[in-house]
Amino acid sequence: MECRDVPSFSLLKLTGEIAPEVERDLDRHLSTCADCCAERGRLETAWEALGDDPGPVPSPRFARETLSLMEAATLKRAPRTAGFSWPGMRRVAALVVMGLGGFLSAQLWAPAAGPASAKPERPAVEAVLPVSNDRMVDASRTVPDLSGRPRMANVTYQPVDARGRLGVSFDVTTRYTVVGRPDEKGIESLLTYLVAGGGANEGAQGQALDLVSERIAAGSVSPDDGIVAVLAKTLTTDRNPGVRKKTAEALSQLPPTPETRDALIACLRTEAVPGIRMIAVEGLAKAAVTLKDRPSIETLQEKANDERESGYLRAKAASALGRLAL
Amino acid sequence: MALVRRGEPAGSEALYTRYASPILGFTTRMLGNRSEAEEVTQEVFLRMIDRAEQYDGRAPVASWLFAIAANACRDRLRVSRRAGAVPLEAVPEPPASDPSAEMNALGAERVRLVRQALALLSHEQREALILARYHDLSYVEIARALGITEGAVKTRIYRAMETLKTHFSEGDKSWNAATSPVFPS
Repeated sequence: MECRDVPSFSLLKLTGEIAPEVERDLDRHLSTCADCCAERGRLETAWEALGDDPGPVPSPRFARETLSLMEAATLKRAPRTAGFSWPGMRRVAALVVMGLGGFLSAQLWAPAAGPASAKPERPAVEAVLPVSNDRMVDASRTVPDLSGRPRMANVTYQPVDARGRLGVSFDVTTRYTVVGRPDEKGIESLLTYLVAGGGANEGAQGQALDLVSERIAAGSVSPDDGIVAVLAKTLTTDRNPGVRKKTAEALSQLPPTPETRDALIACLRTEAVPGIRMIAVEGLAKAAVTLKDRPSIETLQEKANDERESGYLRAKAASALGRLAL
Repeated sequence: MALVRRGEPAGSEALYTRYASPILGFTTRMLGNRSEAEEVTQEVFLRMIDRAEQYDGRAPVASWLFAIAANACRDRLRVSRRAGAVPLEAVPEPPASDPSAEMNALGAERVRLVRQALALLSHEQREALILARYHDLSYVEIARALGITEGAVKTRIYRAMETLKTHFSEGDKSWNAATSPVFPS
Protein backbone atom coordinates (compact mmCIF):
# COMPACT_ATOMS: atom_id res chain seq x y z
CA MET A 1 0.00 0.00 0.00
CA GLU A 2 1.25 3.49 -0.90
CA CYS A 3 1.04 6.49 1.44
CA ARG A 4 -1.32 8.26 -0.98
CA ASP A 5 -3.87 5.44 -0.57
CA VAL A 6 -4.04 5.77 3.20
CA PRO A 7 -6.62 8.62 3.52
CA SER A 8 -9.24 6.96 1.34
CA PHE A 9 -8.74 3.51 2.87
CA SER A 10 -8.75 4.98 6.38
CA LEU A 11 -12.07 6.57 5.59
CA LEU A 12 -13.43 3.28 4.27
CA LYS A 13 -12.39 1.72 7.56
CA LEU A 14 -14.21 4.40 9.55
CA THR A 15 -17.38 3.93 7.51
CA GLY A 16 -17.18 0.14 7.73
CA GLU A 17 -16.82 -0.28 3.98
CA ILE A 18 -13.28 -1.68 3.86
CA ALA A 19 -12.57 -5.23 2.69
CA PRO A 20 -10.75 -7.40 5.30
CA GLU A 21 -7.65 -7.92 3.15
CA VAL A 22 -7.34 -4.18 2.44
CA GLU A 23 -7.74 -3.48 6.14
CA ARG A 24 -4.85 -5.81 6.92
CA ASP A 25 -2.67 -4.01 4.34
CA LEU A 26 -3.65 -0.64 5.81
CA ASP A 27 -2.84 -1.69 9.37
CA ARG A 28 0.51 -3.09 8.24
CA HIS A 29 1.34 0.18 6.50
CA LEU A 30 0.28 2.32 9.44
CA SER A 31 2.45 0.32 11.82
CA THR A 32 5.52 1.35 9.86
CA CYS A 33 4.68 4.91 8.66
CA ALA A 34 4.48 7.71 11.27
CA ASP A 35 3.25 10.34 8.78
CA CYS A 36 0.34 8.21 7.64
CA CYS A 37 -0.43 7.36 11.25
CA ALA A 38 -0.69 11.09 12.08
CA GLU A 39 -2.83 11.67 9.00
CA ARG A 40 -5.15 8.91 10.01
CA GLY A 41 -5.31 10.37 13.53
CA ARG A 42 -6.53 13.71 12.13
CA LEU A 43 -9.19 11.94 10.12
CA GLU A 44 -10.36 10.01 13.17
CA THR A 45 -10.44 13.20 15.23
CA ALA A 46 -12.74 14.84 12.71
CA TRP A 47 -14.93 11.74 12.49
CA GLU A 48 -15.21 11.50 16.26
CA ALA A 49 -15.86 15.25 16.57
CA LEU A 50 -18.95 14.87 14.39
CA GLY A 51 -20.28 12.51 17.05
CA ASP A 52 -20.46 15.42 19.51
CA ASP A 53 -23.73 16.39 17.84
CA PRO A 54 -26.25 13.94 19.33
CA GLY A 55 -29.04 15.24 17.12
CA PRO A 56 -32.28 16.89 18.08
CA VAL A 57 -34.96 15.17 20.14
CA PRO A 58 -38.47 15.66 18.72
CA SER A 59 -40.40 17.74 21.23
CA PRO A 60 -43.83 16.61 22.52
CA ARG A 61 -45.38 19.60 20.72
CA PHE A 62 -43.78 18.58 17.43
CA ALA A 63 -44.87 14.96 17.95
CA ARG A 64 -48.44 16.03 18.67
CA GLU A 65 -48.65 18.31 15.66
CA THR A 66 -47.04 15.85 13.29
CA LEU A 67 -49.10 12.87 14.43
CA SER A 68 -52.24 14.91 14.10
CA LEU A 69 -51.34 15.97 10.53
CA MET A 70 -50.42 12.39 9.70
CA GLU A 71 -53.62 11.01 11.11
CA ALA A 72 -55.68 13.44 9.05
CA ALA A 73 -53.69 12.56 5.91
CA THR A 74 -54.02 8.84 6.59
CA LEU A 75 -57.74 9.02 7.22
CA LYS A 76 -58.14 10.77 3.87
CA ARG A 77 -56.71 7.64 2.29
CA ALA A 78 -59.03 5.30 4.19
CA PRO A 79 -61.23 3.42 1.75
CA ARG A 80 -64.93 4.16 2.20
CA THR A 81 -66.12 0.59 2.22
CA ALA A 82 -68.65 0.59 5.00
CA GLY A 83 -71.31 2.57 3.15
CA PHE A 84 -71.18 0.35 0.10
CA SER A 85 -70.70 -3.11 1.59
CA TRP A 86 -73.34 -5.72 0.98
CA PRO A 87 -74.01 -6.28 4.69
CA GLY A 88 -74.38 -2.50 4.94
CA MET A 89 -76.81 -2.44 2.03
CA ARG A 90 -78.84 -5.25 3.52
CA ARG A 91 -79.02 -3.35 6.77
CA VAL A 92 -80.14 -0.23 4.92
CA ALA A 93 -82.78 -2.16 2.99
CA ALA A 94 -84.10 -3.88 6.09
CA LEU A 95 -84.36 -0.66 8.03
CA VAL A 96 -85.87 1.28 5.15
CA VAL A 97 -88.60 -1.32 4.63
CA MET A 98 -89.54 -1.03 8.26
CA GLY A 99 -90.21 2.61 7.72
CA LEU A 100 -88.31 5.44 9.31
CA GLY A 101 -91.23 7.15 10.88
CA GLY A 102 -92.58 4.00 12.44
CA PHE A 103 -90.13 1.51 13.85
CA LEU A 104 -87.12 3.72 14.50
CA SER A 105 -89.11 6.52 16.03
CA ALA A 106 -90.87 4.15 18.35
CA GLN A 107 -87.75 2.18 19.33
CA LEU A 108 -85.09 4.83 19.56
CA TRP A 109 -86.87 8.00 20.42
CA ALA A 110 -89.51 6.88 22.84
CA PRO A 111 -89.85 9.41 25.66
CA ALA A 112 -87.28 8.62 28.33
CA ALA A 113 -88.60 7.17 31.53
CA GLY A 114 -87.31 8.45 34.84
CA PRO A 115 -86.14 11.79 36.14
CA ALA A 116 -82.92 12.02 34.08
CA SER A 117 -84.69 13.33 30.97
CA ALA A 118 -84.86 17.11 31.05
CA LYS A 119 -86.06 17.51 27.51
CA PRO A 120 -89.21 19.46 26.81
CA GLU A 121 -92.32 17.66 25.71
CA ARG A 122 -92.67 17.42 21.99
CA PRO A 123 -95.91 17.51 20.09
CA ALA A 124 -97.10 14.08 19.04
CA VAL A 125 -96.36 13.21 15.43
CA GLU A 126 -99.61 12.93 13.53
CA ALA A 127 -98.62 11.08 10.39
CA VAL A 128 -96.08 8.58 9.23
CA LEU A 129 -94.49 9.01 5.83
CA PRO A 130 -93.82 5.58 4.33
CA VAL A 131 -90.34 5.43 2.80
CA SER A 132 -89.75 1.98 1.40
CA ASN A 133 -87.81 0.56 -1.47
CA ASP A 134 -90.42 -1.71 -2.99
CA ARG A 135 -94.09 -1.16 -3.70
CA MET A 136 -96.56 -3.42 -5.38
CA VAL A 137 -99.44 -1.71 -7.14
CA ASP A 138 -102.56 -3.61 -8.17
CA ALA A 139 -103.58 -2.21 -11.59
CA SER A 140 -107.16 -3.42 -11.15
CA ARG A 141 -107.57 -0.94 -8.29
CA THR A 142 -105.08 1.84 -8.97
CA VAL A 143 -104.14 3.67 -12.13
CA PRO A 144 -100.63 5.17 -12.09
CA ASP A 145 -100.69 8.94 -12.60
CA LEU A 146 -98.14 9.60 -15.33
CA SER A 147 -99.12 13.23 -15.93
CA GLY A 148 -95.87 14.44 -14.36
CA ARG A 149 -93.97 12.45 -17.02
CA PRO A 150 -91.71 10.67 -14.50
CA ARG A 151 -88.43 9.34 -15.78
CA MET A 152 -88.53 5.58 -15.34
CA ALA A 153 -85.31 3.71 -14.72
CA ASN A 154 -84.46 0.00 -14.50
CA VAL A 155 -87.64 -1.02 -16.32
CA THR A 156 -88.17 -4.79 -16.31
CA TYR A 157 -91.14 -7.04 -17.20
CA GLN A 158 -92.42 -10.15 -15.45
CA PRO A 159 -94.00 -12.75 -17.72
CA VAL A 160 -97.74 -13.38 -17.61
CA ASP A 161 -98.70 -15.52 -14.62
CA ALA A 162 -101.36 -18.22 -14.26
CA ARG A 163 -104.01 -15.54 -13.69
CA GLY A 164 -103.03 -13.77 -16.93
CA ARG A 165 -101.35 -10.85 -15.18
CA LEU A 166 -98.01 -9.37 -16.29
CA GLY A 167 -95.75 -7.14 -14.26
CA VAL A 168 -93.97 -3.94 -15.20
CA SER A 169 -91.34 -2.77 -12.70
CA PHE A 170 -89.51 0.51 -12.73
CA ASP A 171 -87.71 2.91 -10.41
CA VAL A 172 -88.81 6.49 -10.13
CA THR A 173 -86.32 8.38 -8.07
CA THR A 174 -87.98 10.68 -5.63
CA ARG A 175 -85.91 12.99 -3.55
CA TYR A 176 -87.29 13.60 -0.09
CA THR A 177 -86.33 16.55 2.03
CA VAL A 178 -87.38 16.29 5.63
CA VAL A 179 -87.40 19.71 7.26
CA GLY A 180 -87.60 20.24 10.99
CA ARG A 181 -85.84 21.37 14.14
CA PRO A 182 -83.03 19.08 15.32
CA ASP A 183 -85.06 18.01 18.35
CA GLU A 184 -88.08 17.03 16.30
CA LYS A 185 -88.73 13.33 16.06
CA GLY A 186 -88.50 13.10 12.28
CA ILE A 187 -85.06 14.75 12.15
CA GLU A 188 -83.79 12.87 15.21
CA SER A 189 -84.82 9.52 13.80
CA LEU A 190 -83.25 10.33 10.44
CA LEU A 191 -79.96 11.36 12.04
CA THR A 192 -79.90 8.24 14.21
CA TYR A 193 -80.56 6.09 11.18
CA LEU A 194 -77.75 7.80 9.26
CA VAL A 195 -75.33 7.53 12.21
CA ALA A 196 -76.07 3.81 12.20
CA GLY A 197 -74.81 3.67 8.62
CA GLY A 198 -78.12 3.97 6.77
CA GLY A 199 -76.81 6.43 4.16
CA ALA A 200 -75.16 4.94 1.10
CA ASN A 201 -73.24 8.01 0.00
CA GLU A 202 -69.82 8.97 1.27
CA GLY A 203 -69.89 11.49 4.09
CA ALA A 204 -73.53 10.94 5.07
CA GLN A 205 -72.57 9.12 8.27
CA GLY A 206 -69.83 11.60 9.21
CA GLN A 207 -72.08 14.62 8.68
CA ALA A 208 -74.85 13.02 10.70
CA LEU A 209 -72.32 12.43 13.50
CA ASP A 210 -71.28 16.09 13.29
CA LEU A 211 -74.89 17.20 13.64
CA VAL A 212 -75.48 14.86 16.58
CA SER A 213 -72.23 16.10 18.19
CA GLU A 214 -73.40 19.70 17.85
CA ARG A 215 -76.58 18.80 19.68
CA ILE A 216 -74.62 16.97 22.37
CA ALA A 217 -72.31 19.97 22.81
CA ALA A 218 -75.35 22.23 23.12
CA GLY A 219 -76.62 19.95 25.90
CA SER A 220 -79.80 19.09 24.04
CA VAL A 221 -79.23 15.33 23.87
CA SER A 222 -79.99 13.28 26.93
CA PRO A 223 -77.85 10.25 27.72
CA ASP A 224 -81.10 8.33 27.91
CA ASP A 225 -81.79 8.87 24.25
CA GLY A 226 -81.52 5.95 21.87
CA ILE A 227 -78.64 7.72 20.14
CA VAL A 228 -76.26 6.47 22.87
CA ALA A 229 -76.93 2.86 21.94
CA VAL A 230 -76.38 3.64 18.27
CA LEU A 231 -73.15 5.53 18.99
CA ALA A 232 -71.88 2.71 21.21
CA LYS A 233 -72.50 0.16 18.49
CA THR A 234 -70.97 2.35 15.79
CA LEU A 235 -67.85 2.94 17.89
CA THR A 236 -67.02 -0.73 18.09
CA THR A 237 -68.32 -2.02 14.77
CA ASP A 238 -67.90 0.62 12.06
CA ARG A 239 -65.08 -0.19 9.68
CA ASN A 240 -64.16 3.42 8.94
CA PRO A 241 -61.68 4.85 11.46
CA GLY A 242 -62.83 8.41 10.68
CA VAL A 243 -66.40 7.49 11.69
CA ARG A 244 -65.18 5.72 14.84
CA LYS A 245 -63.13 8.80 15.77
CA LYS A 246 -66.15 11.12 15.45
CA THR A 247 -68.26 8.63 17.36
CA ALA A 248 -65.73 8.50 20.21
CA GLU A 249 -65.73 12.31 20.32
CA ALA A 250 -69.53 12.41 20.43
CA LEU A 251 -69.72 9.81 23.21
CA SER A 252 -67.01 11.58 25.22
CA GLN A 253 -69.02 14.80 25.12
CA LEU A 254 -72.17 13.21 26.54
CA PRO A 255 -72.80 13.44 30.28
CA PRO A 256 -71.21 10.23 31.63
CA THR A 257 -73.51 7.27 32.23
CA PRO A 258 -72.78 3.56 32.63
CA GLU A 259 -73.71 3.15 28.93
CA THR A 260 -71.28 5.77 27.62
CA ARG A 261 -68.62 4.45 30.02
CA ASP A 262 -69.05 0.86 28.80
CA ALA A 263 -68.79 1.98 25.18
CA LEU A 264 -65.55 3.87 25.89
CA ILE A 265 -64.09 0.92 27.82
CA ALA A 266 -64.96 -1.41 24.94
CA CYS A 267 -63.28 1.02 22.55
CA LEU A 268 -60.12 1.15 24.70
CA ARG A 269 -59.93 -2.65 24.69
CA THR A 270 -60.58 -3.26 21.00
CA GLU A 271 -59.70 -0.12 19.03
CA ALA A 272 -56.56 -0.42 16.87
CA VAL A 273 -56.12 3.27 16.08
CA PRO A 274 -54.14 5.06 18.82
CA GLY A 275 -55.74 8.45 18.11
CA ILE A 276 -59.21 7.02 18.77
CA ARG A 277 -58.03 5.32 21.98
CA MET A 278 -56.70 8.73 23.11
CA ILE A 279 -60.16 10.27 22.68
CA ALA A 280 -61.72 7.31 24.49
CA VAL A 281 -59.33 7.60 27.45
CA GLU A 282 -60.14 11.31 27.74
CA GLY A 283 -63.85 10.46 27.78
CA LEU A 284 -63.32 7.69 30.31
CA ALA A 285 -61.24 10.01 32.51
CA LYS A 286 -64.19 12.41 32.53
CA ALA A 287 -66.60 9.56 33.30
CA ALA A 288 -64.42 8.28 36.15
CA VAL A 289 -64.37 11.68 37.83
CA THR A 290 -68.18 11.87 37.64
CA LEU A 291 -69.14 8.26 38.27
CA LYS A 292 -66.23 7.26 40.58
CA ASP A 293 -67.02 3.66 39.70
CA ARG A 294 -64.92 0.53 39.71
CA PRO A 295 -64.99 -0.31 35.93
CA SER A 296 -63.75 3.18 34.96
CA ILE A 297 -61.04 3.22 37.62
CA GLU A 298 -59.83 -0.31 36.86
CA THR A 299 -59.66 0.39 33.14
CA LEU A 300 -57.73 3.62 33.74
CA GLN A 301 -55.31 1.75 36.03
CA GLU A 302 -54.89 -0.91 33.38
CA LYS A 303 -54.15 1.73 30.73
CA ALA A 304 -51.82 3.76 32.95
CA ASN A 305 -49.69 0.64 33.45
CA ASP A 306 -49.89 -0.67 29.89
CA GLU A 307 -46.40 -0.31 28.41
CA ARG A 308 -47.70 -0.95 24.91
CA GLU A 309 -49.69 2.29 25.05
CA SER A 310 -48.30 5.71 24.15
CA GLY A 311 -46.92 7.98 26.85
CA TYR A 312 -49.73 10.47 26.25
CA LEU A 313 -52.49 7.92 26.78
CA ARG A 314 -50.85 6.50 29.90
CA ALA A 315 -50.29 10.00 31.30
CA LYS A 316 -53.94 10.89 30.65
CA ALA A 317 -55.11 7.77 32.50
CA ALA A 318 -52.69 8.41 35.37
CA SER A 319 -53.75 12.05 35.64
CA ALA A 320 -57.43 11.07 35.90
CA LEU A 321 -56.55 8.59 38.64
CA GLY A 322 -54.61 11.34 40.40
CA ARG A 323 -57.66 13.64 40.30
CA LEU A 324 -59.78 10.85 41.80
CA ALA A 325 -57.34 10.41 44.65
CA LEU A 326 -57.65 14.08 45.67
CA MET B 1 -46.31 0.55 5.06
CA ALA B 2 -49.12 -1.87 4.28
CA LEU B 3 -51.18 -0.29 7.07
CA VAL B 4 -50.45 3.20 5.72
CA ARG B 5 -51.63 2.11 2.27
CA ARG B 6 -54.85 0.82 3.82
CA GLY B 7 -55.40 4.18 5.49
CA GLU B 8 -54.82 2.89 9.03
CA PRO B 9 -53.34 5.64 11.26
CA ALA B 10 -51.68 2.95 13.42
CA GLY B 11 -49.28 2.34 10.54
CA SER B 12 -48.21 5.94 10.13
CA GLU B 13 -47.87 6.36 13.90
CA ALA B 14 -45.57 3.34 14.09
CA LEU B 15 -43.43 4.79 11.28
CA TYR B 16 -43.34 8.16 13.04
CA THR B 17 -42.23 6.54 16.31
CA ARG B 18 -39.43 4.71 14.56
CA TYR B 19 -38.18 7.35 12.15
CA ALA B 20 -39.05 10.79 13.56
CA SER B 21 -35.73 11.20 15.37
CA PRO B 22 -33.49 10.12 12.47
CA ILE B 23 -35.40 12.20 9.92
CA LEU B 24 -35.45 15.26 12.17
CA GLY B 25 -31.72 14.73 12.80
CA PHE B 26 -31.05 14.58 9.07
CA THR B 27 -33.10 17.67 8.23
CA THR B 28 -31.69 19.67 11.16
CA ARG B 29 -28.11 18.96 10.13
CA MET B 30 -28.91 19.61 6.49
CA LEU B 31 -30.72 22.90 7.07
CA GLY B 32 -29.03 24.09 10.27
CA ASN B 33 -32.29 25.52 11.55
CA ARG B 34 -34.58 23.65 13.92
CA SER B 35 -37.89 25.22 12.97
CA GLU B 36 -37.28 24.77 9.25
CA ALA B 37 -36.13 21.22 9.92
CA GLU B 38 -39.37 20.48 11.79
CA GLU B 39 -41.43 21.83 8.90
CA VAL B 40 -39.52 19.74 6.40
CA THR B 41 -39.77 16.64 8.62
CA GLN B 42 -43.54 17.04 8.70
CA GLU B 43 -43.50 17.36 4.92
CA VAL B 44 -41.51 14.13 4.71
CA PHE B 45 -44.06 12.17 6.73
CA LEU B 46 -46.97 13.65 4.81
CA ARG B 47 -45.28 12.84 1.50
CA MET B 48 -44.70 9.32 2.81
CA ILE B 49 -48.45 8.89 3.34
CA ASP B 50 -49.29 10.54 0.04
CA ARG B 51 -46.85 8.37 -1.91
CA ALA B 52 -47.32 5.14 0.02
CA GLU B 53 -48.30 3.38 -3.22
CA GLN B 54 -44.91 4.20 -4.72
CA TYR B 55 -42.98 2.31 -2.07
CA ASP B 56 -42.18 -1.03 -3.68
CA GLY B 57 -40.50 -2.71 -0.70
CA ARG B 58 -37.21 -3.31 -2.51
CA ALA B 59 -35.28 -0.87 -0.32
CA PRO B 60 -35.63 -0.50 3.44
CA VAL B 61 -38.24 2.05 4.51
CA ALA B 62 -35.45 4.12 6.09
CA SER B 63 -33.67 4.55 2.72
CA TRP B 64 -36.91 5.57 1.08
CA LEU B 65 -37.68 8.12 3.81
CA PHE B 66 -34.15 9.54 3.63
CA ALA B 67 -34.59 9.87 -0.15
CA ILE B 68 -37.78 11.89 0.43
CA ALA B 69 -36.03 13.92 3.15
CA ALA B 70 -33.01 14.66 0.94
CA ASN B 71 -35.28 15.88 -1.87
CA ALA B 72 -37.30 18.00 0.55
CA CYS B 73 -34.12 19.56 1.95
CA ARG B 74 -32.81 20.29 -1.55
CA ASP B 75 -36.10 21.98 -2.42
CA ARG B 76 -35.93 24.02 0.78
CA LEU B 77 -32.30 25.04 0.23
CA ARG B 78 -33.08 26.01 -3.38
CA VAL B 79 -35.94 28.23 -2.25
CA SER B 80 -33.79 29.75 0.53
CA ARG B 81 -31.01 30.56 -1.91
CA ARG B 82 -33.46 32.16 -4.34
CA ALA B 83 -34.96 34.19 -1.51
CA GLY B 84 -31.50 35.36 -0.45
CA ALA B 85 -31.76 33.68 2.92
CA VAL B 86 -29.09 34.03 5.59
CA PRO B 87 -26.23 31.56 5.05
CA LEU B 88 -26.63 28.31 6.93
CA GLU B 89 -23.72 28.74 9.32
CA ALA B 90 -24.98 32.15 10.45
CA VAL B 91 -28.34 30.85 11.58
CA PRO B 92 -28.35 30.36 15.34
CA GLU B 93 -29.83 27.16 16.62
CA PRO B 94 -32.96 27.80 18.67
CA PRO B 95 -32.81 26.40 22.17
CA ALA B 96 -33.82 22.78 22.37
CA SER B 97 -37.12 22.04 24.02
CA ASP B 98 -35.51 19.44 26.25
CA PRO B 99 -32.05 20.75 27.02
CA SER B 100 -31.16 18.05 29.49
CA ALA B 101 -31.73 15.38 26.92
CA GLU B 102 -29.90 17.09 24.12
CA MET B 103 -26.92 18.89 25.55
CA ASN B 104 -25.41 20.71 28.44
CA ALA B 105 -23.85 24.16 28.08
CA LEU B 106 -20.46 22.95 26.90
CA GLY B 107 -22.09 20.32 24.73
CA ALA B 108 -24.25 23.03 23.17
CA GLU B 109 -21.19 24.93 22.06
CA ARG B 110 -19.70 21.79 20.57
CA VAL B 111 -22.93 20.99 18.75
CA ARG B 112 -22.94 24.52 17.35
CA LEU B 113 -19.39 24.09 16.12
CA VAL B 114 -20.13 20.72 14.54
CA ARG B 115 -23.08 22.17 12.69
CA GLN B 116 -21.00 25.18 11.68
CA ALA B 117 -18.40 22.78 10.29
CA LEU B 118 -21.07 20.83 8.40
CA ALA B 119 -22.18 24.12 6.88
CA LEU B 120 -18.74 24.41 5.24
CA LEU B 121 -19.62 21.50 3.00
CA SER B 122 -21.61 21.59 -0.20
CA HIS B 123 -25.08 20.21 0.36
CA GLU B 124 -24.22 17.18 -1.81
CA GLN B 125 -21.24 16.36 0.41
CA ARG B 126 -23.23 17.13 3.55
CA GLU B 127 -26.14 14.80 2.77
CA ALA B 128 -23.86 11.88 1.93
CA LEU B 129 -21.71 12.40 5.02
CA ILE B 130 -24.69 12.79 7.37
CA LEU B 131 -26.23 9.54 6.13
CA ALA B 132 -22.94 7.69 6.62
CA ARG B 133 -21.89 9.23 9.93
CA TYR B 134 -25.15 9.63 11.80
CA HIS B 135 -27.45 7.07 10.26
CA ASP B 136 -25.08 4.17 9.54
CA LEU B 137 -26.26 3.77 5.97
CA SER B 138 -23.95 1.77 3.71
CA TYR B 139 -22.61 3.39 0.55
CA VAL B 140 -25.05 1.28 -1.48
CA GLU B 141 -27.99 2.53 0.59
CA ILE B 142 -26.77 6.12 0.41
CA ALA B 143 -26.39 5.81 -3.36
CA ARG B 144 -29.95 4.51 -3.60
CA ALA B 145 -31.35 7.20 -1.32
CA LEU B 146 -29.61 10.05 -3.14
CA GLY B 147 -30.00 8.64 -6.64
CA ILE B 148 -26.26 8.64 -7.36
CA THR B 149 -23.57 6.00 -7.94
CA GLU B 150 -21.65 4.32 -5.17
CA GLY B 151 -18.49 5.90 -6.56
CA ALA B 152 -20.02 9.35 -6.23
CA VAL B 153 -20.94 8.60 -2.60
CA LYS B 154 -17.35 7.61 -1.88
CA THR B 155 -15.97 10.78 -3.52
CA ARG B 156 -18.40 13.10 -1.72
CA ILE B 157 -17.70 11.63 1.69
CA TYR B 158 -13.96 11.67 1.05
CA ARG B 159 -13.99 15.35 0.03
CA ALA B 160 -16.22 16.25 2.95
CA MET B 161 -13.86 14.57 5.41
CA GLU B 162 -10.84 16.26 3.87
CA THR B 163 -12.46 19.63 4.57
CA LEU B 164 -13.50 18.67 8.10
CA LYS B 165 -10.12 17.11 8.92
CA THR B 166 -8.44 20.44 8.27
CA HIS B 167 -11.18 22.35 10.06
CA PHE B 168 -11.14 20.30 13.25
CA SER B 169 -7.46 19.54 13.63
CA GLU B 170 -5.86 22.80 12.58
CA GLY B 171 -7.96 25.68 11.41
CA ASP B 172 -10.61 26.12 14.07
CA LYS B 173 -9.41 27.67 17.32
CA SER B 174 -12.89 27.84 18.80
CA TRP B 175 -13.30 24.10 18.33
CA ASN B 176 -10.07 23.45 20.26
CA ALA B 177 -11.21 25.81 23.00
CA ALA B 178 -14.59 24.14 23.25
CA THR B 179 -13.11 20.67 23.41
CA SER B 180 -10.32 21.45 25.90
CA PRO B 181 -11.05 20.99 29.58
CA VAL B 182 -11.30 24.23 31.55
CA PHE B 183 -9.87 24.32 35.08
CA PRO B 184 -10.75 27.05 37.54
CA SER B 185 -7.78 29.28 38.34
